[in-house]
This record gives sequence, C-alpha cells and structure tokens, in this order.
Amino acid sequence: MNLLLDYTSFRQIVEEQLEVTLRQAVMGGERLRDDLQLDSMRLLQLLVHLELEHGYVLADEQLAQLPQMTVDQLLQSLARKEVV
Amino acid sequence: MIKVHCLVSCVCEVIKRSDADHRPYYFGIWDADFALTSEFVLSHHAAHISHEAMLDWYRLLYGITVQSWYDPSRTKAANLVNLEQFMKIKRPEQSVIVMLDLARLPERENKFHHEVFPHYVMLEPTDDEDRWRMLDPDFRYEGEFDRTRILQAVDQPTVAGGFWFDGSQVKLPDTETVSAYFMSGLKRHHPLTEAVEQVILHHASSPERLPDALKQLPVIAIRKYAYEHAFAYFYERLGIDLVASDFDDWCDKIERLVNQYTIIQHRAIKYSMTRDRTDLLDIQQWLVAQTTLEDDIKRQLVDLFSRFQQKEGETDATRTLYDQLPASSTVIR
Repeated sequence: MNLLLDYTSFRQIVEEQLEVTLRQAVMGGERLRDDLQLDSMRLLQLLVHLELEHGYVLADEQLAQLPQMTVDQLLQSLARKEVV
Repeated sequence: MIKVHCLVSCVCEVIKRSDADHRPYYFGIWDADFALTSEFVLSHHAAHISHEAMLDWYRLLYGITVQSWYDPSRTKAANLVNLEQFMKIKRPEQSVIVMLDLARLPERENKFHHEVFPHYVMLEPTDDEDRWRMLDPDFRYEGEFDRTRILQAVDQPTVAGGFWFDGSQVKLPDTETVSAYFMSGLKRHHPLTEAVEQVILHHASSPERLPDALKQLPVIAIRKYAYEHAFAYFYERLGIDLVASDFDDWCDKIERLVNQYTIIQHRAIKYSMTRDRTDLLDIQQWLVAQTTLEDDIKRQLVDLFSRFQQKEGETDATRTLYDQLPASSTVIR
C-alpha cells in the first residue's frame, strides 16, 4: 500500500507542528494517544495542518476514532483532498 | 459501560450491586450542567455547578441520602484532615467520594490529556494505613495509591468537593418517581449545542482562542451516551427485544451525535487557522445537523416514555408534558 506519508515525514510534521519531541523512530503500531501521548485536540490540529499544508484529509466518520488509531492506521486512512 | 458522568458513575456503583436498576438515574444526564465562562470557554466543571438536585433525585429513587463531607466554608487543609479522619472510622457499607485533579496523578489514565482534570472517585482504606484504594467506576479503574499521593491530588486549588453515603439499604425505584425524574430532566432545547453555537459566534471575529474554548467539548459530549441507558430501560420495560428491534439504530444515532461534536471541534480548529467564512458556515451546518439529530432522539424517547406511562397506567400525570413536546414522526418497530 502506498502511503502518503512515511514514518520519518510523519514524525517531522508532528514535532514541528505540535512542538513535541517523539522518539527517533516512530513505530507503525504505536497508538497516537496512549503511546505518543497526543491528545485529541492536538491530533485535530495535526489533521488541519495536514489538510491545509499537504492536502491530506481523514474522513469525517473517522475523526472520533483518531485518538485510538495507531500511526499505521492514520497513515493508511489519509487520502488526498479532492479539489472541487 | 461508557464513561458518561463521574459523580453519577460513583453513586451508581452501589446500585449496580443491588437488585435496583441504575439506568433510570441516567435520565437527563445527557443535558447535565456544564459551564460557559465569561470568556465563552466551555468547561465540564465549575465551582458554581451544584449537584444538589441530582443527589436529591438519587435519594427519591433509591432511598439513599448522599451527604457532603466537604465544607466549602473551611480551608482545604481542614477538609483534608476531615477526609483522613473519616477514612479511619468509616464502615464498609459507607462510600466516600472525593473530587481530585486526575491530571496530578499521571500514573492514572487521563485520556483527555487535560492540564487540569477535576474528577470524582471513590476511596477505600486498605490494611496499610498509608495506602488507599481508589475506585473510579467512570473509567472502570481500581488500584492502590499512597495516601499522600491522593491527598496531593485533592489538595489542588482547581478542585473542591466530596460526599459520603450509606449504601446498605437500596430501595427499588417506583414507577411514579422514575416518571417524575424523567420529566424533570427532559429539556426541549439542547443546551450543549446551543452553548457551542454561542462559543463559535463569540469567537467568530477573532478565532485564535476558539480551539481552547472548545477543548473540553469531548468530556461533555460523552454525556450524550446517557440516552442509551434510557432507551434500553424503556425498551425492556415495554417488552421490546433489544436485538430484534431498532435499538441498535438508535444507539448508532446517539454515537453519531457524540462523534459529530468531534467534527465541529475539528472545523473550529480549521476555522481558527483559515478564518475562511466557508468554514464558519460549515460549522453552522453541523450545529443544525446536531439539533435535528438530538430532536429526533428526544422525540423517540418521549414516545417510549409515553408508552411506558400507558403501560404503567400513569398517562394522566404526564400527558401535559408530552403534549408540550414536538410530535414524533417515528414509529417504534
């Protein structure tokens, strides 16, 4: 499966945008809230950044599940924003 | 069991261990009080929020008087001494509830990751006087802590409050009281959606603080899961099979109601960054969708309540209220 973001880019964006420091290597199975300690509001801020700056979106139906997602689940769920 | 309201979860714990049904106590919790500060910031807790009415209904439903051991007129230090003394002498059938700042106990789950998290838990002494057992039914947690760690979490300026009760005699709630409680908690309007709209409008022209103003929205939104308890209670009392009926459809709607607040929060963060009026309009459309959805849920609930009343022969007592509410377009299958 071709992901829109690789782990390195994801980690870099998270650290820059949310002003947090993650471990050197982000693992795909790590959970966003419980392992990376990213609260729901920070995750929503991250999503808005991904949409506005990179054109990647998460479906509305998946927003509520975001804190429980793993890094892989998020990266696999991101889609390119449709330009109307 | 889903987290809905921490104090309600605490007092319901003893009910769940009895023959009484705890679900009616969740009536109205979907619209339980929250705070909107003068800066238009939503908060799930505020010092002025009183639980008196909620605990009065607990007494009327289950015959248990919940008393406050916390005395706001005394210092925090004096209240901590009071708590320690009470923990030493309390009998097993007595339950102690205390408000603490969960964020001060990083070893505990704080799934909302708030810097301050006022939260009610129950305490029990252990064989070791320096260790207390914490029961947190809201998060389905139970574990031991050093007494001093708990006292530190209570000794925060952001929290104040505590109760105790004797749960040895639980009364089965009678239909009349259940009906009266349902009516007392049913609001035609939807306070949370209305408050979110007020927050959005207040911050619309200068939205940089809008994300923080809605930060606690998820904590309040999950109270909507209380609807599930009401649906399950009425369906069962009416003899409607939960599996074969449309019960799951209503649970899906309730979940959608909760989740759509996350969408609104997402759009609010987006608007704070873009300041694009299209995003503001999008939020307003979601708020309309919330109102429509919650109208639908409340209408169905009132229909169920009406049928429950007819079955129990109490129609006259509630007819006036029912007539004031919008007619239902939903047929119970």
